[in-house]
Amino acid sequence: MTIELNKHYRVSEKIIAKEIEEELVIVPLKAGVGDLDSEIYSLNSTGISIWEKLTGTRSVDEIIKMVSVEYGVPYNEIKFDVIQLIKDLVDKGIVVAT
Amino acid sequence: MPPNTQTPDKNSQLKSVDCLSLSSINLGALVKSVVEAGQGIQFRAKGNSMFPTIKDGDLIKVTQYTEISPTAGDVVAYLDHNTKNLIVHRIVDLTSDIFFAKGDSCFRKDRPQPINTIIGYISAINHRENNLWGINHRVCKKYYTFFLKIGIIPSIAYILKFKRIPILFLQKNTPKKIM
Repeated sequence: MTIELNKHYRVSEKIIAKEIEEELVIVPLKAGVGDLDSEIYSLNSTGISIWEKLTGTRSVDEIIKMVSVEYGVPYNEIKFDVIQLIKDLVDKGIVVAT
Repeated sequence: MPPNTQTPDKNSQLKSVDCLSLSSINLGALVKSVVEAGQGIQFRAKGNSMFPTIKDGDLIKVTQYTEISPTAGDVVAYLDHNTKNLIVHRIVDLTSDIFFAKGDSCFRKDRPQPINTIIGYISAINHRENNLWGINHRVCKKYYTFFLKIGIIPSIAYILKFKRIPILFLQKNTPKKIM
């Protein structure tokens, strides 16, 4: 699955996310039940910063620019990491395209 | 604009988490947030305080109380209001404000807890909702709770677990002190 810069993504309703010890723990729901016995995921502070911007109202390109300004890192340096994270989130069904 | 002092962590990629690595407090916080969102949650039990009803490694499902209220005999998941640890034990007594819980293989009750520390009840063990040990059957729960309170269930659990009679029932003749 390729992530397009002009596309919008948002968090799926089929997950529950909870901040625990400065990490965001993500629990996918299957038939309305969170299964901690199967895969659950976590994001660190940088991942949380990107996660908070996935509201469905911003394109991937806008998110990269915001993260670039937030961390004072050139756009091209941060671009791959942001796209890779969004791709991982989409592949796991945690984030969906709008 | 002055340069931002934060540096992005290059390892922001999604990481898998092993549920067993979560501390009891963190697991409790996670279970509470999922159940309060109106969803069920299932995870592996740790320990044998609820033996034989729930054994170490059993998959237990926690469901929120909606149409029913907690009653004696219910196996519940609650956060200890002092330690914030997640505990799964059976309610043996309760009032409108507090409840007492006890592990099925424990001889002592837990410390009294406020009712609002209950996250939900155990609605299935290893995907089975009907359980021999009375987790859902209201009549079974009543008698089971009685035998639990008087120590019969923990004694049976002890025998099943350790294949011997609990030491409480082995009275030794202690020699009297010579004055």
